[in-house]
Order: sequence, then structure tokens, then C-alpha cells
Amino acid sequence: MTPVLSVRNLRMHLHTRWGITRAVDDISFDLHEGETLGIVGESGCGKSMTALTLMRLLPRPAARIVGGQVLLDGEDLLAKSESEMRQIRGRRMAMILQDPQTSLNPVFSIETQLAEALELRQENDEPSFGAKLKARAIQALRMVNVADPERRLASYPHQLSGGMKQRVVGAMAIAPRPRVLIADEPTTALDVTIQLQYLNLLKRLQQQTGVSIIFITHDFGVVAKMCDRAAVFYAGRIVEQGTVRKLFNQPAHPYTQALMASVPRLEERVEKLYSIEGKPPALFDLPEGCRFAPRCPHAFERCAKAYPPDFEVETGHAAACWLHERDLTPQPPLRRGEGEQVSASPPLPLGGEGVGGWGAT
Amino acid sequence: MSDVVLRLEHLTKHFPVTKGLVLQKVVGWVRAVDDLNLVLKRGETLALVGESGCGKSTTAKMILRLETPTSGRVYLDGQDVHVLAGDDLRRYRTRVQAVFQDPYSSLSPRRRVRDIIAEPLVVNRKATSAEVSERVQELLAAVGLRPEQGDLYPHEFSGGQRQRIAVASALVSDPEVVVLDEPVSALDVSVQAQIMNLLKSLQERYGVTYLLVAHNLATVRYLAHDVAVMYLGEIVERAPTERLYGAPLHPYTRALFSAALPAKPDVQRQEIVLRGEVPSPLNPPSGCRFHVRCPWAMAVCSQVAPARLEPSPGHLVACHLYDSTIMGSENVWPADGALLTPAPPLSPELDLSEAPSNGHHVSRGSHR
Repeated sequence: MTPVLSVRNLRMHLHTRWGITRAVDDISFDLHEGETLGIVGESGCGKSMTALTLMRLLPRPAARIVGGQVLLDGEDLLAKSESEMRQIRGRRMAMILQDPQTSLNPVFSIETQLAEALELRQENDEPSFGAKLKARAIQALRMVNVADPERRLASYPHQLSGGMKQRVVGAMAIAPRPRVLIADEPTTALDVTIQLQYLNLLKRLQQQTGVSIIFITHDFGVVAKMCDRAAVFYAGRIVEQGTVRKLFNQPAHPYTQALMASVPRLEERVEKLYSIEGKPPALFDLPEGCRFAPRCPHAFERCAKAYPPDFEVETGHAAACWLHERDLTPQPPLRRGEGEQVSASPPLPLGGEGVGGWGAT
Repeated sequence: MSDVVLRLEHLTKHFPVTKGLVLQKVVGWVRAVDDLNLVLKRGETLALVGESGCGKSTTAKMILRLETPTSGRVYLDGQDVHVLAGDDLRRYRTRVQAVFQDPYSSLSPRRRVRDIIAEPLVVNRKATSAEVSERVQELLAAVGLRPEQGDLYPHEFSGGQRQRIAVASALVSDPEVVVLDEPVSALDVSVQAQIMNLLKSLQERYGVTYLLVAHNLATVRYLAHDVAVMYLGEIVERAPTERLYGAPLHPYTRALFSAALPAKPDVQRQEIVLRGEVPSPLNPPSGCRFHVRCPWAMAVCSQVAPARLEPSPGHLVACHLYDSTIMGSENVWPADGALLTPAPPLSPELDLSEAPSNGHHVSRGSHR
């Protein structure tokens, strides 16, 4: 099956006063029909910049796409002109942002803004005007569970609650029936019970329309609920990619392992959380080798010398970490045990004295 | 010294809603906090959990004396906090401190870190300058900063380090209670772990009592000894942390737990999706304030406010389902957290976005 969206070696640089920032560095992933791909990582790791690069909504003149391909149904978006991109944005590839307030114009009614989205119809759809357009707007609101849609059409964004605004944004994004929906932390600004409503709504919309979703989040719980596959970002690169089940049950990259160990658990009591020492490198001053190496409990000489390629741990599960090199290459019998230990989630130095530099108790 | 350091009794805060620019006419009251009763045990952490607008931050502000209660009292070691004035008040400010959510706005950008940390000692004239500088050094080390970093300004630090500075400043006057208002929710995941571990180790070291205001249930489980769940200005359930997480009783608590997503795929669990959103505290629903969203609401819930019950020792809940005088001794729900009737699924036609208004509530529990 050919993927709906295929990103190949995408690289984007930001020219800042500190130098050239490699914000998106050699990113590759596929997104299949009706699938949800999670993009996970901490702030500044390039999640949102990747999304903006896909949409070609980058700050100019600072941002430059320096390489790679973004293939939407086989067409390279990076080769399109700006006017061609305008035909694609919203219509074939839509986006939901974290704060619904920024996606809605405060001075236009919900009806006006929905109508604008509905006019972005697919080429073979009938155009609709007047009463017909209004009926479609009402239907779009009904689809996202907005109560009393007839009355809501006349209201303005400030009259709606945060959850309802985000549903309206969802309706606007999904109404033109895009192939790909990029949801950039769509529930971070919402309360938890409202978040659950919204996530279930997104899932239902996906089942009804077959849209493929890129779900950007920092919340592993959301990934576990929403996504089929996920990519973990660190310092502008994907360090691990695989099915959600594999990623959670057998995380292969030390960063993924550390990140998961540092999240407090809802379902069990943890005495002490693992904490990752130091902080991510500045993207304009990256180490030569693996970018996680300075913070990695398993780092060895090789890590500082060269950035590791993606090693396939299992089919469809890849990690960019030198620890996995040995698993793939034929191994001398003496080192075998060592290699096996690494592939089966290595023990983390939990609760070590001086972790994070404050262990002076 | 008693075991209880801070006691809240019938604490209530109603904010007036006014109309008109000059002659402000009060047209209503926002009932932010209503009849709150809580105790904080010395050296432990009590968490206030709830969604935005449930009154948890208003409660924290009343403890910090940033808001005056409409009625009710706050006692610190038996002393009514809101009658304090002059030197007593000054002393109180050193005994109760706070760490806020956003370390970018809570630290003055124009002052050196050393002075920010020393501030509570200096303004309260608690120590000589030699003592102050010694104490600041000690706190810098305790929160994991190097001594020379005290000479820097806040903008030279990352978010996690700034929160360390805020924690140091809160602890410098050796307070008894520290209010932690969403101390980690603005930070990155890996930094959250650092700050949570720091808060935990500092509590062990200094024996300080925390009031943790948070919405993340995993964070709360990690830090808190006791948890109080708030909904629309009222406490609906209160229990020791492990008891609550083992057996949440109140339907709202169950819904909160169901909405907190475990970081594990394939977890089989029953999802309780609530109808609608939190109603306005301006005109809270009659009876039980949760009844308009509750999957198990009965006719009585819209009429009678539930009493505070104690189905098992130390576990308080305000819900009619656990009241044998209302449910009858056969139908009363068990205290072990078992569901007596499953939550009726929300039909797709059912309106998700707006809870039914008070008057038109239809009982869905008549089969019991």
C-alpha cells in the first residue's frame, strides 16, 4: 500500500542570530491511509517545526528547506509553487493548533468562518451557496457535537468555551475532507474530561472520513490512546519510530526509555522518578555524534564520533542508536550476551545519587 | 506541636458580579469556593485536584492571604490567619510560602538570583546580612545550583532551573507550609521529573508541609499523601492517596481517572465520558452540583445536596450513591470502589456539548 504522505530526508534550517539552527534534520516517515502517527518529544525538539515544514508555513526569510521530499499522494509538495500550495492547504492537508483562539478570527461569526472552510471543497464536489451552505455548516457543527448548531452559527468565538472552540476548529479542518490532518497538541489547552471528549470525537471523525492524522503531543497517554505508530523526536531528529505497542513495551532508544521512566505513573506508586541529567543541546551548536550521548547512561566512544543511522530493531521498529548495531551485524560469540541484554531494555540507573545534580540529602 | 499544621474551616469565597461602570450594582455571585473543610498534616502533602474553575487556586490564595474569605477560617497552628496584622502578619508571610506555575513570570527579571532567594528573609527582617548570605548559599546547593549561579539573572536560566530558584526562595525562610500551585505543569516532561524529585527530597529534608494544587493525577500520586477532589467549589471526595487511587468512589473522581490516560497501549478500561462542560459557578446546579453531568444521576440528585459520608475510615465522599438512607441498605454502593451499575454509554445523538439545564433534568436512575 502506498502511503498517503511520505516524508523523505526532510531538512529545514532556521537562520538565526546565533547561527544556523538545524530545526528539522533528516526526518523520514510514512503515513498510511486512515492511520494516526504520533510525534512525541519535548519542547524545542522540532515537532511543530516539522508540521509547519510539511504545510510550508514557515517564517520567512529565516527558514529554509534545504533538502528532502514531502510526497502527498506521490506529489512532492516542496516542488509546488506558493499558489499551488494554497490549493493544498486546508483542502488536502489541514491543521489543528493547540490554542483554538489563534485559529478563529474574533471579529467574524462562526458561520462566516465555517463557510470559508466549506468553500474549500474537493474538486468534484458541488459548490454550495446561501441556504445550502448554511445547511452544510450546521451539519459540520453537528458532526463535532456542538449543541444547538443553528444558534451557534451566529455566535462569535469569545462566546464559546475552549472545548467548543476547539470542536469548531476541528469542524473547519475536517469539513473539506482533507487526506491528512495535522493535530499539533490540540488538547493541551483543554481540561482532562474535555480532552477525553475531544480525543474520542477525533477518533470518530477519522473512522467516518478515513483521514490520516499526524498527532503531535508530549503526552505519552495521548499517544497510547490515539496513535497506531509513533516517532520520538530529539534535537531535530527522529531517534525512534515504530508501532505504539512496540514503542511502549520495548523502547529501543535510551532517550525513549529515559523519557518513559521519568513520567510518573497513574496506575502504580513510584518511589523515585528517573530524571534525565542535563538538557537538550542547542540546535545551533550540535555535538558531532549522537545528540543524546552527553545525557545518555549507555554512551560509549562511538556515540561521540558519529551520528548513528537508523537500526531496524524489528520489522517496522527502528532506533537511531549505536547500541543496536551489534544486534544486526554477525557477532562474535563472546559479545553475544551483551548484545542481547541491550536489545531487551537495559536497566536504567534509577534513583542514583546526584541525579540532576541535587542529590545532596 | 500538633500533627495538624493548617486547618480550613467552612472556607467560602464568593466573588461579586457587578454591572455598570460607576455605580457598580451586584447582579450575582460567583461561588468559587463553598464551605471547604480540610486539614494539612505536618510534613505531608495534600493535593487539591480538579479542573479549571473548580476553586483550587482560590483556596490556595486564601491560604496565602491573597484573597479574603467571604466566610470561614484558616488556622495555622490554631491561629486564625485572617485576623493577623502588623508583625504577626509579617511573620505569617515567612511561615507560609508559595511556588507558582510559571517560573518565567514569578521571578523578577531585574534582580540577581541571590537577591530573589534572599527576599523573604530581607523584607521580613528575619536575619543579619551574614546569616542571609549563608542561608542563600545553603538553599542554592539544596536545589542543585552552583554558588556562583547566584550572581546571575533569571533570564540566564532554563525553565527547570528557574523553578529551582522559585523553590529555593520559597524555602529560604524555613516555612511550615508551601503552597505549590501547578509547580511542574509548565515544564517539559524530563524537567518535571527533576523538579518533582527535588520537591520530594526537600520535604524529607526540611519536614515542610505542601499544599499541592494540580490537575495531573499521575503527578499527584507521586507527590501527595492525601488528595481532595474539587468540583465547582466543593470537595466531592477526600482520601489518602493510595486509597483513592485504589478505589475512587465519587462519579466525578471516576470520570477524572478515566480521563487521565495511562501511558500504556492496550489497557482495557471502562471510559467514563462526561456530558458537557463544567457549568458556570455563577449559577451552580441545584442539589449535587455534578448531577447535570453525572452518568448515574438520580432524581434526588437535582434536589438534595449530598451529605459528606465516610463509607470507609478516612475516605470521605459527598454522593447519594453511598448513602444508605437514600439508596436503601441493599442498593447502597460498596466502599471498595466496585461499580454497582455500569455507566450508561453516551449515545451519539446525546448532546455532548451542553449539559441539560437544571430544570429539565430527567432521572436516569429510576430502574434502581
